[in-house]
Amino acid sequence: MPVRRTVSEVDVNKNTNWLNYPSVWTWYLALIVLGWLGISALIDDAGLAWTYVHLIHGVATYYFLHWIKGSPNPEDQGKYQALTFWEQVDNEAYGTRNRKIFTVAPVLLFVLATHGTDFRKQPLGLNLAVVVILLVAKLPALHKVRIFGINKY
Amino acid sequence: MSSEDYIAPPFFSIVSALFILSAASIFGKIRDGFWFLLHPFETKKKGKQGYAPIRDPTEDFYMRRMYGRIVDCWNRPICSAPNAWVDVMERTRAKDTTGVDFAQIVPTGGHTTCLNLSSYNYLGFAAFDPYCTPRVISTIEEYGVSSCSSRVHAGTTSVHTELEELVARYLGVDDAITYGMGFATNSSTIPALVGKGCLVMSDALNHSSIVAGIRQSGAKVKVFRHNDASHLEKLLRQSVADGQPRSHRPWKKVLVIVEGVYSMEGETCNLKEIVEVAKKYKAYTYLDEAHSIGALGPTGRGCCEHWGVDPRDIDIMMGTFTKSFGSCGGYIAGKREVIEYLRRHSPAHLYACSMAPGCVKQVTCALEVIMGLDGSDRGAKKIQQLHDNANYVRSRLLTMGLDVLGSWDSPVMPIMTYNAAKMVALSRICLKRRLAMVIVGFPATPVLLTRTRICISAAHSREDLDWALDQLSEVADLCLLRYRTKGLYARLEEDLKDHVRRHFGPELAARATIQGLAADEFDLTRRPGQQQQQGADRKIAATVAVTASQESNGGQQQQQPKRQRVSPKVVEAEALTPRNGQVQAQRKPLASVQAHAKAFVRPEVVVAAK
Repeated sequence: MPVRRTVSEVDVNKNTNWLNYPSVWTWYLALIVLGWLGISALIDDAGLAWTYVHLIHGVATYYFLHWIKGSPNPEDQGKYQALTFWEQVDNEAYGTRNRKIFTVAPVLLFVLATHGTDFRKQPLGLNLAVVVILLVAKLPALHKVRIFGINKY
Repeated sequence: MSSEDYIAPPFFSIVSALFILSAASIFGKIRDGFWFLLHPFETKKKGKQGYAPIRDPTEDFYMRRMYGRIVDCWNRPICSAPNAWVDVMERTRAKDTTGVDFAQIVPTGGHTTCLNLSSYNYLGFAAFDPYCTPRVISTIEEYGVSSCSSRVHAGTTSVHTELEELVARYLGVDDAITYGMGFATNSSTIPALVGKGCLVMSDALNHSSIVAGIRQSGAKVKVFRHNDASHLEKLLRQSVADGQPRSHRPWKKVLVIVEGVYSMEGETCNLKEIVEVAKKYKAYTYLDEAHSIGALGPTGRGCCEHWGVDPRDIDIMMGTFTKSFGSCGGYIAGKREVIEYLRRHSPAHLYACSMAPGCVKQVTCALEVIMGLDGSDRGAKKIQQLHDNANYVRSRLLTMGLDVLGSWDSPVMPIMTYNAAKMVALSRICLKRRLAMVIVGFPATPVLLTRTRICISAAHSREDLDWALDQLSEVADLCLLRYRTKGLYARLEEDLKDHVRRHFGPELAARATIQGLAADEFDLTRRPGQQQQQGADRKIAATVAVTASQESNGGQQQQQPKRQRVSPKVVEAEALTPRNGQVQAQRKPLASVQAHAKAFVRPEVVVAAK
């Protein structure tokens, strides 16, 4: 995709522009850490808890970012009805800070999960599959692409 | 990212707001999950076979699972005229025949008298007025309740032409056209003015009527950061240089749309800088004065008077009669050829029912009171009372530690609650304490910047406001609303000094502080004799503002000749409102049908040669 330097416009999409507030990533990090604490209180292996956090995070972000489409704001009048949350972020521009953070988060969790399970073959395979699916979903080349027509409407 | 840049909401409040919203969403999703489990194929059975679903469960999730819990905060019915005090009907959740609550709210039949901080009653014309109401009633008896026709068929009456002339005179422009609905004024005028091949530069926080009009027109729109004239300039420069997308042909028309007072922020636009930028790139300006007409400026002539901008520099001035005039409908005012064009091309003028004659007369009488044409100074007193009330309440709320937005003199004040739960709690507690306040949440404002919006009126007395402020102080403790955002307070203090300097002179500006205003330590009353002096002051202040803004805009080239026209406009406006009733002779009510017909034949045509 050719990149062109231009004057940025304002992001008026009320569904996504809350990501630009100062403490949103703190909240995101807090959710993940609280999740890990909660899960490691239920099972005795704190390292395996990271795998569970990674998997739950993977499923949740896949659902919220790449599966559900549209905007809860009725004033949009269906403008974003065919776009997932990931595709709507930052006026559909790639390479922004929000997108970088969303991309790095599953990778970091993958590293923590594999370290926590001492690189044993089995959780590693599952973690690897999840992180690869998430990373592929975030590629700019897959913008508005629906493979085999899944989730098209 | 828009005006919220300088609000800098408190760090922890955003985190807590996000936790609350995510908790509400998770509970909503769990309830959705249970519903789908218990009613497995409900949607397939209900919908017709082979048809696309009429609604998407994802898109109306917010409406179903989150807004549905708090509907009692909106759409509250009232059962009296919206004066300073209003009767709000009490409602309760409906119960079905077995006594189980279900998702509907119904009135119980009782009502509570509450202090009305929610109606747009800026000058107190919303209820009985000794000058307006008798004349409105006699107009209804004479012309009927509705004109039952569009303007071009049989809906133009003499009261309509009288109003249009009066509006044009009031604003200091050539001509005006009125519509029956304020929202429709924007959404039908913008498509008549711009179309495919035109460019519209729209402020980030423009009202949804403007957005609807732009979408309807098919013009290309670019949104610039709120009140940021330098961002507007950068965008304009690049858009004009690029031309239309893909073909790179020059744009047919470029229109910049801003509002006088933004209804969710209560602040005015930086009209001077924006008009300069528009003129530099040969773009037209469209000013939406829905909330500022009648409310801003020493004589209520709106944003132009407030900033000292010549009304003839604004190409299209739009406003509504709902707020300061106690009526309904809207107007567009500007050059004669633009208004004549709109009379032939605007769909609301050609097809929609014209304003009801009673509503027209209400606006005419309200304008006559404001301009002093009724022979008294009630109008000037009302405007002064409005500004006093607004400045007093704003300064008291700020010293209480609440985060209040807006400009000085503006009667709209949003109090930030930042957090959806606090907004709802505030609304319910205030209703119990007999304060009727409007809260604003997600689709109208960004999801993390919820607020409650107070509208001050000239009809509010000082005792009413003091009582309301005491109640709000207690509620602020209950809901933990004293954020005391330092950046906001400092910026508003600076705004106050600038405002006082422009309107009252530099000596008073040096003494002006928010604390002082709250304690009534200095007097911001405009005395009638002060007007000429203010004209001179304003000229000086205008040049001071010019040099200040020149420095701040980094050497932007500005046109000097326009500045000289500031003070004559103000002094001339005063001359049009004599106390000796001379002008009233031109405004005698028409007594017969012959006179009615003669009113449409004008002996001389008044055209301002420009």
